[in-house]
Amino acid sequence: MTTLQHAPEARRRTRRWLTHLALIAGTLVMVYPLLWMVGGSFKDESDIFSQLNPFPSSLNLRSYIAGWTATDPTFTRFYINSMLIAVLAVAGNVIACTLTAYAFARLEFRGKKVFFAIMLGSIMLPAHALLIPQYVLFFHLGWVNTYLPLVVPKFLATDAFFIFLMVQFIRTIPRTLDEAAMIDGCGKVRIFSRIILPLTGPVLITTMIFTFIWTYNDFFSQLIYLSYPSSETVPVALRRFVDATGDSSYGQLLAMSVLSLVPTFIVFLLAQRRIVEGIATTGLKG
Amino acid sequence: MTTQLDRRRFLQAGLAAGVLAPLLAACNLDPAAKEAKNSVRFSSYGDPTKLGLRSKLADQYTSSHQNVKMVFEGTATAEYWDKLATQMAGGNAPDVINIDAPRIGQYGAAGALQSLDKYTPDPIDTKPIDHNLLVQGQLKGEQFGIPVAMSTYSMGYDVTVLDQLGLEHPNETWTWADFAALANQIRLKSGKKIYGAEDPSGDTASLQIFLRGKGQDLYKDNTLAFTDAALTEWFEYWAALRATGGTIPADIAAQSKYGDWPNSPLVKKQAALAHIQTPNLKGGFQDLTKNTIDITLPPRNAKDGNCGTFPAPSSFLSLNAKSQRSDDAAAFINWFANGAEAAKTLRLISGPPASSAGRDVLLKGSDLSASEKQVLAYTDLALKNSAAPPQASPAASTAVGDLLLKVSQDIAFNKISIKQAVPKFMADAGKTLDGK
Repeated sequence: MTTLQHAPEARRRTRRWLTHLALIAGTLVMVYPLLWMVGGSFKDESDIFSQLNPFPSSLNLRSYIAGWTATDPTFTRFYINSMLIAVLAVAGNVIACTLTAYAFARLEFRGKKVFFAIMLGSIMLPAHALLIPQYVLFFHLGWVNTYLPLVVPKFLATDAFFIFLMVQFIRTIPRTLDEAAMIDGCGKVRIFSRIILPLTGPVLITTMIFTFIWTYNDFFSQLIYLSYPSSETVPVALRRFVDATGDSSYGQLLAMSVLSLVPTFIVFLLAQRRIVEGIATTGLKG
Repeated sequence: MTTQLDRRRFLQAGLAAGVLAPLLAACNLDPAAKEAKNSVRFSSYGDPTKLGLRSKLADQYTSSHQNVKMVFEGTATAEYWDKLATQMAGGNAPDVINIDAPRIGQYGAAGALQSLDKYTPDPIDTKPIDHNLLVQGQLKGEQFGIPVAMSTYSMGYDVTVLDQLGLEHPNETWTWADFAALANQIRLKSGKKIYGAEDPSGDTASLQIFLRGKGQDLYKDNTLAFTDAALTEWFEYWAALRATGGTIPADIAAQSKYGDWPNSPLVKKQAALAHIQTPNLKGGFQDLTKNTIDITLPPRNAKDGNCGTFPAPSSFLSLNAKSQRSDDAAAFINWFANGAEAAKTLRLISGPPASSAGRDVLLKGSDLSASEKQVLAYTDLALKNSAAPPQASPAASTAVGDLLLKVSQDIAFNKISIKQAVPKFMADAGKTLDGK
């Protein structure tokens, strides 16, 4: 009897060990480039590519100090710019997308289905097709070389993906809550502010996090619309370190890349559980 | 209940105010945007050092010229062209545009750049600039770009390795036969520890030097300007070296592309001979290795034959066709290209100044570094030994370059014989150039 029970137990244990070994091996393969980057940022320039060992022999902060001040203005300014744009974009998306999503999910108005289809269609429109017309538009508005083209559209609910996400979420909130509020004398605005908004917590968090990460990582529109060195953002400034026509400062590039990951990393660490929650409750499960 | 509602309303109002205040502030975030209406915009590309220096140059010009304000816009090289294309399409391109030869062809032909002929010789003086450089900024005889610095093909060698092995340094009039002999010596004397040279058989710039030494060239009037026999000779030359270890084997060669400095065989000490474009000598090679690197003229076909090298502008300055302040912009172009102050600020950052006035200023200075001296001396040598530059490369030249690289690798990996490869390449490249 005991032998019969022991055999499958042992086999299960070996299988679990093997699975873990395979997973750890996979993790190492995935983590190696990251380790290499972090390690490289502490090495001497000439050691970065000549040593396979990702761990530096000593902690040398030279690349960090040189990299931070290599550009004019320094990275302090670029971080301030990036953060400002990201925070404004988050605010814009949260305000505009919830309002729009509420209208699509709960209100009845003429042409709702057509507008909804257009909104969904705009997700599928490639950004490249819009690039030049948008640039011309913003140029004639006199907005080129300001942060307005990067921020104002967010306040006009142009991120269709988040609207769609929220519509799906609001649809799962029982209508009986709306009706109860209506009986208590609430209008459409009050239903939104007292019933819907407080209940959309998880999806709001998801929107905030993704907007932050996507805006912070956004490269091309920041490149196109911001021309003066003093208004540049972190991703655009990072590209300056690699140059095919001249010197590439790999040590400084790696050091600044490590630092540029920090904000995204912090946001992700703090909110990782909420992201999963937000996605899982919106019916967007694969 | 009521207090709760009040607090919520308070928070909402606070949030709205918090959002709107910076948004309103953002309208005035960049004061430079307003000044741009009565200033001259100058855009440039490059690494942080280059951009920093050119930005400084714009400031210097502003402070020494009363009624002009230069506004600098700098972008990393890879993204500069996308941004310029967007600005051009949107009608908002800068007045003075830092540009390269293929884009002068593209934008000049499209009417987006101004012909500079009406600004020469005043304010733009082109006399101090070598004729062979100037013609490369022309379209159908009209000057569309003023070369500011130049880059020259040179043959680099590892002085430390050659000295250790007791081998003589190459001299200016060496031939391809001398090159092969030296490469094989390096392999033998090092006890097969290192290979002789890099393998440039798939590199169009190197092939061009070889062809020009034979009186041929890569392209003429948008067709191939070399014979099957010349290409066969080129591939056989490198195949022979590959067999003796005079050049790196196919697998190493496939991993080292010119411009990927840390992987270059010279930096990795896998080989002691490799071609170097002069602006890359310091940052791309010397700074990445502890060995000493020097440069000389590339090999010739025969001792008394022509050297295939020619000076190539590393970049140009062009004038936007829609510029509102063309005269001020043209004056700035002259100051940048010929001025002493500009030469002192820029030094050799993109190669030696194209203008002899600029080079003289540097040579008179006493603070030249070792690699600056090497490059200036070499540039003098190369200018003396160079013939007329080739015609501007056709639009499909990048695609032809890819074809050459592919076929050279197929040969190196023994996938195809040289006899089969040459006619195949000539046919494929011909089709590519015809746009088929």
